[in-house]
Amino acid sequence: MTYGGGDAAREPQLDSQSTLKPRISTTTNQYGHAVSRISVTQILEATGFEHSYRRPIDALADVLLRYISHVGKLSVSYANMSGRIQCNVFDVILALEEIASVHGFAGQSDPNHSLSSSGVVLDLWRVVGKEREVPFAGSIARFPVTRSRQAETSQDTENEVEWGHIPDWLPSFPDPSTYINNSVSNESSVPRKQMERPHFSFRKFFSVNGSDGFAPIGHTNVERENEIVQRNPYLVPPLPHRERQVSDMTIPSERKAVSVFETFAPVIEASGGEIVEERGVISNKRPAVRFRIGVGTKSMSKMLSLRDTGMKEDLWTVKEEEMDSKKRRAEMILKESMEKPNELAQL
Amino acid sequence: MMSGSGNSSGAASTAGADGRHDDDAALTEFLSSLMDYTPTIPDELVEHYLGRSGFNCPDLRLTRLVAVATQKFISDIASDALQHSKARVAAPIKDNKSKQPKDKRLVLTMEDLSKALREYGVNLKHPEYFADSPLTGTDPPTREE
Repeated sequence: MTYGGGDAAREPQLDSQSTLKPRISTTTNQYGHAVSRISVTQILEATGFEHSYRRPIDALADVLLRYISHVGKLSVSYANMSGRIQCNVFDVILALEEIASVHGFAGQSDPNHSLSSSGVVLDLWRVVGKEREVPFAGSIARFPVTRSRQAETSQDTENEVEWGHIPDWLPSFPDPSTYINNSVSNESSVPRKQMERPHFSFRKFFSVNGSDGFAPIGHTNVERENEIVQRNPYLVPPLPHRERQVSDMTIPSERKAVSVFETFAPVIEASGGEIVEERGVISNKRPAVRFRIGVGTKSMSKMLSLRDTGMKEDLWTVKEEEMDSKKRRAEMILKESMEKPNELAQL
Repeated sequence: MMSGSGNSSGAASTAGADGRHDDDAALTEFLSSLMDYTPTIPDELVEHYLGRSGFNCPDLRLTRLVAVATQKFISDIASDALQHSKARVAAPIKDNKSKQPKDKRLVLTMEDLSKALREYGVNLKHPEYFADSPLTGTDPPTREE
């Protein structure tokens, strides 16, 4: 049987690799679709066709697969309606009858007709008995092929207890020493597995700032914990009431005329750089809270690394130029806002 | 499997029981004959697609039954399409001037197939032409002389 390359009459000439490939089959169905195409071709040949175009064969192959799925779905629904999960022959016959009811079959009108001698079954018997047998060309393996997985053999499985309620395909539990927090932990008593150190050390990262809030996992020690608590100011227990005398805040009087320039002075200061070195001046009067608004977007880690390598001076020279331009820009904005106080839509 | 859940629950007479027994025997014979017949559609394909629909049955005879039913369905569609194709070939030629004889090859085209499938409730529409640009088929702009 010849296999045409497409409808020649009206279609324009297109190469075989064009996007005209029918999207009936998805990537998951391609194998099944290819097999069904072979079956369809054989059936068409047995029917009497000598030639065919590609698209009708693809369409019929798709119809074949949809028919099989449809019969399966109907059979399952009939089985479920009878309270079963496994289908039997009568479920299949009922499904076939439902599909054939559109066309009609012998004995359809009789509501009490026997399923065993249903018209559908007799038609099929005729096919089996009389028609020439055309076996499938070639043989195919059972699909989809399931890859056999090897059971995980690691150190964990040796110590694992066999739980009956936990399926095997779930990952094993972690080592109990990792999550059981023993206050009396002797390193010599229980041989522990070497903990893998992470590549990025939080301790190193934060030690520059002087905070030791993060401790490595696995070496929990009471003494060490106390040490950490003492060093980290956030973990210190709160002071009792009235233990430390705190000065009152000075709030600027509301009647005082506030100049725009003065209020925006901290912004201009801050636009110079992110790291502002702390001045060691400690005064009794606490100033009002000032928010520092950073303009740049460089991360902390970059700044730290530059500082470590000693490129501090270069960094500051570059920064000074930026500071000047930013200062100038800020001043311009202020001037404009002062001149047009009514048009402060941006703020 | 032979629980007879689908059988009629009407007459309980011996004649009815015998009739049912005969029917069951016939069905058993039919199913056993299925194992001797190899359908054109392979069992593995049918099993896969039945499994995807939730059909769970270890019995191979049911798989063969579905395969035979599908084969019959497709061959019915093919024979209907063949009838349409033969009717097209046998139709009188309107254009008497053409010297070429009508093509007597039996070729399955989308038109015949869509006509055949329509009777089975499958709507298959084939686009008449494919355009590679939106302007295909429109009149070209007329030149000013």
